[in-house]
Amino acid sequence: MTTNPTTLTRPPTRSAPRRVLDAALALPRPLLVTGVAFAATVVGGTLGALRGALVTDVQHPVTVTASALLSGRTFHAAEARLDATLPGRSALVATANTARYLTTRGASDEVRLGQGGWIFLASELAPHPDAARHMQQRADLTAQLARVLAARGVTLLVAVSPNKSRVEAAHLSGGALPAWLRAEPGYREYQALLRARGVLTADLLTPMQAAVAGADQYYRTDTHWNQAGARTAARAVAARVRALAGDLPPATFRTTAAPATPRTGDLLRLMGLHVVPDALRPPTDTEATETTVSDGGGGGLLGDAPQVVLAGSSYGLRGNFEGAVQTALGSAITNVSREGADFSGSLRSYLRDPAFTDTPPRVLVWEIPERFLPLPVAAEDHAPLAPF
Amino acid sequence: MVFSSYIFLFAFLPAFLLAYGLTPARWRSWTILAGSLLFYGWTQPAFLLLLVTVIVVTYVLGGRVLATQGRARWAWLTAGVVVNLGLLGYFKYANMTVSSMNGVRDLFGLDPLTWTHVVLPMGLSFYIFHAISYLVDLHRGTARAPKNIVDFGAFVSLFPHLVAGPILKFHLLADQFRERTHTPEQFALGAQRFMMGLSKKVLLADPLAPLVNAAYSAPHPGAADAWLGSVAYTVQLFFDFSGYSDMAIGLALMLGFKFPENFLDPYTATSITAFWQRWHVSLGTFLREYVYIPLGGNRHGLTRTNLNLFLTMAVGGLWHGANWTFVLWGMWNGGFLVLERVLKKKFGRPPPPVWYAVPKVMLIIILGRVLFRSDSVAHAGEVYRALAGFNGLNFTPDVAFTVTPERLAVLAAGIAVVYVSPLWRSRSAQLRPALVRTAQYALTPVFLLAVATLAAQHYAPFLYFQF
Repeated sequence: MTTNPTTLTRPPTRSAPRRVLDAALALPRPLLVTGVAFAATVVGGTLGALRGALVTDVQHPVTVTASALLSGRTFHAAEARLDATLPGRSALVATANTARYLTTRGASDEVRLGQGGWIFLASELAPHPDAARHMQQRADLTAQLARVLAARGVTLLVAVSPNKSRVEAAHLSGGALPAWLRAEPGYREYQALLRARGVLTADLLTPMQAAVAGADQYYRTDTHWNQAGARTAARAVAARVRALAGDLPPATFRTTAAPATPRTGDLLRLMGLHVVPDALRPPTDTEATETTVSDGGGGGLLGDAPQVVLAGSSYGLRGNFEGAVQTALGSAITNVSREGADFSGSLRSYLRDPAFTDTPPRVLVWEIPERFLPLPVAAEDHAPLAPF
Repeated sequence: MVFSSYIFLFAFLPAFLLAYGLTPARWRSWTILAGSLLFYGWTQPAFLLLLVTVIVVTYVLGGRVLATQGRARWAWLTAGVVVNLGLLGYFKYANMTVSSMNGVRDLFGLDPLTWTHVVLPMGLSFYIFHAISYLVDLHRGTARAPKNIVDFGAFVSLFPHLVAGPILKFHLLADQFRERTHTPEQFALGAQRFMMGLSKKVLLADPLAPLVNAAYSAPHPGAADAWLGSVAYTVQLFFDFSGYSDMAIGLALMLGFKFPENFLDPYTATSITAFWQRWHVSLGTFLREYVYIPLGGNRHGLTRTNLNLFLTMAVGGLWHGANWTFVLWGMWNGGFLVLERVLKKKFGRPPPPVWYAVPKVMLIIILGRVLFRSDSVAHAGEVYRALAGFNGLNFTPDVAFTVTPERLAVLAAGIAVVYVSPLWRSRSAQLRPALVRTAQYALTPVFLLAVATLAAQHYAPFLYFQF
C-alpha cells in the first residue's frame, strides 16, 4: 500500500488577508460585483476628495475656529468645499443629467424642455403672484430715474428684451405660454406702465413676434436672442433713437460672418450637458458668427461725449446686438452692457462712472431682460437708481 | 450628516471603516462611540453634550436598576424613564405646550406667556427611545447589562441608527455588542443594501420633493394639487424613509450588526392593522412593548384593549412631532385600528379581496398623511377641502409649474417599484436565474447613477430627521 505524500503534509496556513480574499472570491458573482462596486466608488471618491482638499479654493474657505466648530459652520463649509472641489464633478453632473434627459426628458430645475430640442429658462415660466406690484415698483423707480436724467439733458429709452418663451412660445412643450403667465401682467403691461409715467420705451416684442414667423429669433439652447433676433430688436431700438436724436453723426459699418460652427448655449450648461455629445442631449445651435466694424465716420473729435450709450444685460452682448444697432442707426454707439447685470447692474455702474458723470450721452438706452420685471425688487434697486 | 452626501460617502465612511478595521475586536466599541459622536457632533456640536448626558445618566441609572430589587428597582427605572422623557418633553414639546397655553390664554383675554423657542436636537426622539429601551430591558431582565459605559454609549449613538432609526430595543443588540462576526459576505450584503437604499432615496424620493412641497405650500390648493401632492407624498415618504432604513441596515451589516427590518411592503397591506405591522416596524414594536403592554395591552377586556390601542397610536403620533396634526394623525390611525378590531369581532367576515382591500387601505393612509404633512390643523383642513373638490378641480399655477414629465415618470416608477418588487421577490425562485442575476447586476449602474445624481441635486435632508 502506498501513501499519498500530500496527505501527510499539513496544508499551508493562509494569512488572514488571504482568507478574506478567498472568502470574497467565493461569493456569488452578483454579490461580489456589487460589493466591489461599492468599495471602488467609496475609495475612488475618497481619493478624489483628498485631491480636492489639496486644491486652493478661495470661494469655499473652511474656517476652523472654536466658534465655527461649535456652530457647525466648519462642517457645512467643509461639505460645500468637498462638493465643489470633487474632481470629475462636472462629469458626474453630466452623467446624471444625460440619464435624466434620455430616460424621462428630465432636466435640472433651472430649465424646462420644449419641443424639438428647444430649451427654456424655468424662471421665465414660473408663476409670479405679485408680478403687478413688483412691476409698478420698477416702473416708479424708472420714471424717477428718467426725470433725473432729463434734468441733466439725457434722454432715457427703455428697451425690454422679451422672454424667449414669449417670442418662441410655439416651441414650448404645450405650444403656448402656460395659462398662468397669460393671466399675469407681462411685457405689454410693463410698457404701458412706463408710458403712463412718461418714460420712453422701445417695443421689441411686436417686431420680434412678427419676425419669428420667418426665422427663429432666439437660440434653441440659449436664453438669449440669436443674430436674427438681435437684428430685429436693434432695428426697433434704432428707430426709436433716430426719432429722439435725428442728427446723430453718420457712420457706415461692415458686417462679416465667420464660417458656421456649433454654439453651445447657456441652457445646455445649466443642464450640465455642455460636455456631452449631441446624440445624447438637445443638439447645439449652429451659427455663422457675425462681426460688425466701422468703415469710418460717425465719431466726433477724440474725447467728444458719446451720443448714444447702450447699458444693458447679457442680451446687449449677444447676437452682435451692438453691431446691429449701429448698422440700423447708421451711427456709432457706446456699449456698456455687462454679464449678470440683472435689472439695473450695468446702468448703476455706468451712472457712477466718470465716463457718464463727465460726459453724459444724449440718449441712454437701458436694455432690461423681461424675466426680471415680475421678481421682487432687490435691495439695491429699492434706492433711487441715479446717484445724483 | 446625511448618508446621501459626499462628505459621508467619501470622507466619514471610509475613515470610519478604516479605523474600525484597524481596531482590535475588544476595542471596537470605542471606535464606534468616537465615530458616532463625531458623526453627530460635527453637524450639531452644541447638542453633543445632550447626547453624552443621556448616555451617562441612563447608564448610571441603569446600574442602579440592576443593583436593586423590588420597589427601589422600580423607582430607579421610573427615575430613568422620567429623566429621559423630561428631556424629550422639554426639547420637543415645550414650544407646543406654551403655544397651546397661549392659545387658551388668548381666548380668555390674558397676555401670552413669554417664551424663547427651543431648538429640537437632531435624532433626539430616537436616542431617547433607545435609552428608555435599555432601562426597561434591564428592569425586565430581558437583556444582559453591557460590559461598560462604552458599549452602552456605542449602542445609543451607533451612527447607522442614531438620527433616524430604526428604533432598536436594547435586548436585540446587547449580545451583538459582546460578539459579532465580520465576513466579506456580510460586508457585500451590507454594501448591496446601502446601495439599494441610496438609490431609493436619491432617484425615487428626492425628485418628488418639489412637487409635494408646491402642493402643500399652495394657499388654496385645487383638487388636482391636493390629490397629486398627497399621492406623491405617499410615494416620497416611503422611498425616503425605507431608503434611509436600508442604508442604516446596510451600514450596520458592514459593521457586523444585524438590524431588524423596518419596512415589510407596507403599501401592499390589506388592512390598517397589517399596514402598521409593516410600516416603520421598529417604532410599532417599540410602542407595543413599551407603551401598549404597560398600559395593559389586551389583558383587561375589549373596551380597555381598544382604548389602549387608540392611546398608543395617539402617543405614536405625538412622538413624530410637537404639533396637534401629529396627535390627530395618530388618533386617525388608532381609530381605524379599533374599528377594524371591532368589526372583526362583531361580524367575523372573511378578509376582503386584495383588489378592494389594498386601494381602500391606501386611501385611508393617504388621507391620514394629509395631517402628517400639513403645517397645522387649519392647513390640513384646507387640503381636505381641496381633496373634496371645494376649491375647484384644477392645478394652481405654482403646482402646475412643478408637474413635469420627469416627476410624473418618477412617480409612476415609484408606484411600479412598490407593487412589482414584492411580486418579484415572491416569485424569484420561479424566474430564470439569468433574469434574477441581471437584476442584481443592474443595482451597480443604478447606484452609480444615484451617486452621480448627488452632484446634480441640491441638498435634500431626510424627512425623518425632523422627528
